[in-house]
Amino acid sequence: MGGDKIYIILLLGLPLLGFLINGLLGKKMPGAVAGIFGSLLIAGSFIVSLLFFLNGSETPVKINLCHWFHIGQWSIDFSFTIDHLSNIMLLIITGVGLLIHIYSIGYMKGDEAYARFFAYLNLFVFFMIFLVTGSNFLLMFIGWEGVGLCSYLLIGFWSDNNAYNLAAKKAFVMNRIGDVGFVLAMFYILQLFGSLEFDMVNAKAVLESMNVRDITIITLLLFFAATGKSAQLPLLTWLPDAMAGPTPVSALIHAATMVTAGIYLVIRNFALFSMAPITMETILWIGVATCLLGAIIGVKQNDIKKVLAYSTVSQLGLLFVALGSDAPVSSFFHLITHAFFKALLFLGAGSVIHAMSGEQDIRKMGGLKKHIPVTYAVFLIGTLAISGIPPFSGFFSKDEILEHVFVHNPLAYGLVQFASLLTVFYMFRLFYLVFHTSYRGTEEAKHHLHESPKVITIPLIILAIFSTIAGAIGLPHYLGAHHWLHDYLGAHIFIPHAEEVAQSTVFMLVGIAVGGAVLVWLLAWVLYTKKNTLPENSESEMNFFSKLVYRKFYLDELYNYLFKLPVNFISKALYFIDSKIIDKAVNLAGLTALSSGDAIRKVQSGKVGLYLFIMTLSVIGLILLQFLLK
Amino acid sequence: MISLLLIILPLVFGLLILAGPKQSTAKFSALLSFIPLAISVYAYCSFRANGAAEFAVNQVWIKNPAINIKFTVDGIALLLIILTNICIPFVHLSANGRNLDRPRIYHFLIFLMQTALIGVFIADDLLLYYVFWELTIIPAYFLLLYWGGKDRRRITFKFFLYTVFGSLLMMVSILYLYANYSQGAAIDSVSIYGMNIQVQTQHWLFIGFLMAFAVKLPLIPFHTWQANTYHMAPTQGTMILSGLLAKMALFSIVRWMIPGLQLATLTFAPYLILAAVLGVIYAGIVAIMQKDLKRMFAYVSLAHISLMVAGIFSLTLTGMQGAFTQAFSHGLNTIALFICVEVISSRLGTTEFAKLGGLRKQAPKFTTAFFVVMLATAAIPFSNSFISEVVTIYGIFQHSPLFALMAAFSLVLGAVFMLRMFRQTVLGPANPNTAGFRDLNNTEAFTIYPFVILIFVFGVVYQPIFDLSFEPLNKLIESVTSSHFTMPNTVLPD
Repeated sequence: MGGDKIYIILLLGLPLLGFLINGLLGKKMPGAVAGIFGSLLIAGSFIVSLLFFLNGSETPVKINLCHWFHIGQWSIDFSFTIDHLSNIMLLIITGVGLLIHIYSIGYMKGDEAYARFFAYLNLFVFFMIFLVTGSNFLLMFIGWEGVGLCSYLLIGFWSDNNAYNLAAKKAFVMNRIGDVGFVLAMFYILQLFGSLEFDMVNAKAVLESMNVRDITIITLLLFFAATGKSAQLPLLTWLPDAMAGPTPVSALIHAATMVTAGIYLVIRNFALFSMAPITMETILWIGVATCLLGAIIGVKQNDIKKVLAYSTVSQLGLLFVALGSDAPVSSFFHLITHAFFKALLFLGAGSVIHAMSGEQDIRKMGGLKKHIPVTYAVFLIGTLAISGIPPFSGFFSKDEILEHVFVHNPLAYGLVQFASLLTVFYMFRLFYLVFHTSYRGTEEAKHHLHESPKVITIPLIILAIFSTIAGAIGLPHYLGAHHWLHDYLGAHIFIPHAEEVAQSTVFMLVGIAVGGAVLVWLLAWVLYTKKNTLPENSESEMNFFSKLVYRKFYLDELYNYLFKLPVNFISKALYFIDSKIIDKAVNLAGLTALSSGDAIRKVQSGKVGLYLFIMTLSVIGLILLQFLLK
Repeated sequence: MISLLLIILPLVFGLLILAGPKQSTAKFSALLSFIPLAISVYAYCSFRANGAAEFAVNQVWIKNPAINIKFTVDGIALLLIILTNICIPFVHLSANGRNLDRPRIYHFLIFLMQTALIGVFIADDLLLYYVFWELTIIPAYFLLLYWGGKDRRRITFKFFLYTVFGSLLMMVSILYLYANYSQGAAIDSVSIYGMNIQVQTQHWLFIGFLMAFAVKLPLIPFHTWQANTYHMAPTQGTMILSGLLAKMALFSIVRWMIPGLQLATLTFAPYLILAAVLGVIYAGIVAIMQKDLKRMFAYVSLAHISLMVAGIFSLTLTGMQGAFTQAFSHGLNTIALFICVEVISSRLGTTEFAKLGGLRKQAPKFTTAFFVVMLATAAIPFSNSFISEVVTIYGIFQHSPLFALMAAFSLVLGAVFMLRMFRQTVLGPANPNTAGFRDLNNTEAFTIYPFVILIFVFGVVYQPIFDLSFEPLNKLIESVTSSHFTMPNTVLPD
């Protein structure tokens, strides 16, 4: 056990050390030292995670570092759980995190706040590890809030730009709205279960027949928190704006890790969630709606990062659909493959933006294939993976989800399958507009076109490899294979028993998914290479529906009118009432009570203060005298 | 002995400063005021962990009416004494570099305030307590009147009137207690529990006490002196008002009001929580659109204090302990916030958002410090107000989940107004007004960095604070919750 303690201290301590050293001394470090240092520490954490994985124990390991505090019913230890679920999360966080750190060494080169960037990135990894390993709701909540803070810091990293600062604030505030749900859920749990430990709560939920109404309230509150962190309806609009942050941040925080925290929260407490059918239905339909919405909006976006952002929203929706269909393993499987291919796509997009001297508008790209061949190749792999083309990883994980949804609810299946086809469309649209046909950008940018350095391309290649082969951890039964992930997770996590699906149905579903994907791919190919279609140059050229989708169904405007403006108005109105009306009323009441204008005039002269002063001083003098004389 | 030292030393130092040289008064004062801090740390170390009252001093002062010079320090008092004594040196120091008129008197008044505050915390005789309570108003009055900003006469007068009005009502209640229930003996923190008062009478007395506290905290709607006063006051005055004086009222509630008037407490508590929780939302929303740092922080403080009041009147151990832990954190954070304000206003002569912005690149040290303090105010994990805010809201939750939901919005509102403020004042591009903003000098760094460190230290170290407040609050709650069953006799006082 002592060894485990050291491991967990290293696991958490190395990124924290990176934050402190880069944050405090980073400015004095020359060149890429801060970046290399930050990456090395994450590599250390990765090695620890790998050791946990390789020496995996049969049962979950709970490591209690020390007692933290106790007050009333609260008794909180700094204790951390390493089980199969958190271990895989750790591998993703530190593994993909390491690649993104290395990538950033090149990508952020020359930025005036280079060390600060790595300090924040290290801090993020620290809190993310805290989130997934914390063994109770409070520690998880600390990680949960902490990653939100890092997200804020990194979205607004270039703080001279006020739009970026606004995006950062928006992300933080929307997450905080969700967090209210987390806090209240925590209170209910503490009151109901007398504990905040995940293992206690989930065991008790299974063993004792708890009141379904209570569990429903708790799980709905937790899910509300998850909609904030994982950008689901209604709290999704912060994620696209979050693209203001440097691209590695988008890849690490807003695609691969932080935004999946909501899914992790549900899987971690799946015993609890599966007891509340109403919550499960809510999760399913919120997931379906978000999945569809994200995919539709993605079709009309022209900023390379925005397309990927809406794609992330949509894919996260898909993960919730899987959860709502009683398929936590499939959800987690797709979470893993998504972490690889979406990080790959974002980093690939970063490489494109790098090559284009900062240009992000896909209307001004085109024909980049021959200029940046490595980026082109890995981006193609990412696109194939997310589109669900076999044998890339996304095919296996997405198909598994579709299969479960089909059994669970055919209508939801239809909608999600449609969203998947849209995904194929907008991804290939993006792909062809960026890499194929002819160049449409400025001459100056063309002059600078170049492939990124090795420090950027090597992480891309590694991610591309994983995006290709990661499906191996969950091969389907019809291939005669063994679903490793299912057994691995099932050993430590509550997994509901899934219904058997007839072989013929499975083949039909695979046929629809792959056939449809290939057809849509062809469609995109025809539209964007053969016919050379280009997106509209300005909103005035768009018809009503295009504009509706382009403007994200006016969600931002809607929220603006529904919440932001009213709150601001109320704020001003209340201030007016406060300083003009309440003040006067209280004054009037007070004056009437005192009623003697004469007395007030004397007070106003300032003399009364003096009298009081002298009086009190003499009182103190008296006390002292009295005491000394005794 | 410790009690006496704690209370007299600041006054002695104040007199020393009055007699001392005119130069570097702020630094001398700060230096001297580290001695009370050291004594209070010593007091903490020798304090027995059971939290019961200690360091007693007891002398008869006046036989008839019975007033004793009696001091005892219980856990909560010690907590607030430590808070006061940590903050005062830095309050002094923050005035360094300000070209103040008559600096010696200025610093003397701050010392006098310290004595008065500590007197309120440790006086163990109701009348003696009242003397110290009133004493605090004198330094406050002069600080505002002579060193205040624009319109200081009118605003000071208003502040004075509000406070005196509230205090008068409390005095009436206290005198009524003495006349009818003390049987000629002094009332101390033990005998206050045994007052046998008819319910109806308790209600009136409760209102009398409450008025004094409602003004001082303040509670809505008795808060309208606050924003103008904070805005006009010299920053050191604002620090003391918001960071320390408000705590004095919180403390008085649990030391005198609730123990003496337990049945009335049970009657009024639900309404007070509701009012306080509404106050959290009200003040939080008003804070959003403020355009001036000091005015905004007045509303922020109002919101946070309201949350503490709700925690206290939840009458749950978690809520009360949380509220006092929150009070400790809030004291540190508010004073740190106003130190940051002082840095800005001493350079630019303004605290209006519209004239600020773009400080980050020019003043990275200041930005970092301000950022940490700002986040602590918004209750971020591992800052001192995170756990305390969560457990306070849990106390409210135990009383009513609906109120807890409302109180939990303080988390959202806190993020909205603090981040907005930070975005407008520190981030973004620099403007002609802020170009050339100088970063912290050594003295300023020494003034603000300790707070940054304490924010993180008390972001992890909660247990000692919880332990300090456990015993007195536990005793109080047990007494209040059982007071249902021991209805006092219904004999009217003569």
